[in-house]
Amino acid sequence: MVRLPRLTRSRRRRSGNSPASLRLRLRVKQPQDARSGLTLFELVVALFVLTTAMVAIVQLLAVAASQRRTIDQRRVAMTEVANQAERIALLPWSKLSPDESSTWDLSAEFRKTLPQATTTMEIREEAEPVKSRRIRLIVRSPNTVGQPIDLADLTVWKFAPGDEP
Amino acid sequence: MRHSRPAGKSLIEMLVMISILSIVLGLSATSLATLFRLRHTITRDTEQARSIERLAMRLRTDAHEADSAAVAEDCNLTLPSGRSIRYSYTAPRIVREVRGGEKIVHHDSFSLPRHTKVIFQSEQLGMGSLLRIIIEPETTKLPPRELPRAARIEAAVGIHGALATSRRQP
Repeated sequence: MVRLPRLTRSRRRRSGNSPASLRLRLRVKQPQDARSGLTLFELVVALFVLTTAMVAIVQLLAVAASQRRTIDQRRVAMTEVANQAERIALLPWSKLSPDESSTWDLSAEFRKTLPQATTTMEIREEAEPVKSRRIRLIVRSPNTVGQPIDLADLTVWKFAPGDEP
Repeated sequence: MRHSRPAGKSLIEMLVMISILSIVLGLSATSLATLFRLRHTITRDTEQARSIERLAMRLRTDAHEADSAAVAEDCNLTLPSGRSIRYSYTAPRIVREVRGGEKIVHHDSFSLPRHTKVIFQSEQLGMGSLLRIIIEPETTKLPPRELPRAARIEAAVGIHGALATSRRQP
């Protein structure tokens, strides 16, 4: 149980009433000249917070869009090298010359999605464990700061006729 | 005599507040609409990419094992075991049916987005034939972002393990 502080006789004389009337009087004495609203400082802080949040969201969206574009480019590059690997599988053994780098005919979708990409096909001779040719297909494209990055890297082995596992 | 000013907001304050709120609400609504549209596009593209990847893997495995391929409106592969595999397009999916004689022993489907056109092709190349499935958007009046992605899957027929692959994640 909460007890109100007892008023001394002099204070009671000054107030002339019970503690309840004292609380009422104190409430009445609240200053009325303070206007409710926002100060300039509060407004500046609110605008700063809002601006920071908006900038963060915009940056996040930009990063998400960039990541999505990169994933899409990788998908197109992987499809391209996988298709080229199938073409290589059908080529006769004599048509694949080792120790040289070359490129191949690119699809329209690849040229549209990755106009700046470069493609390389490296062929190396391998004798062990079976006679084969190691063919490496690489797709490189410059990133946003101009540095070349590997979007796809696929290695296939074509076995010599009669040496297929 | 002291006059106390009434507590509350002036008309200017109210107008400024309403303007700021309108701008904030407008930006939020636009951002949310963009995010929802982006989510829809990403989901559709991811599903299409996954479906095409699965289809490419299946088609290449089947084509490598096949003895021959016949392509018209659909694609029929004949396996050495006597079974045949048929790939056909029934919008909006590519259906793969494995038949043992007249009986369908396995059925598989690969979903594609709406407004997609699928073309089966075959080309004679080097020592054999190259099977090709072209997936491209139908010519419609839809905006470019609504159209499905184009893709081309190629598979060598009858190479029977003449090629080993190793894919490295760059």
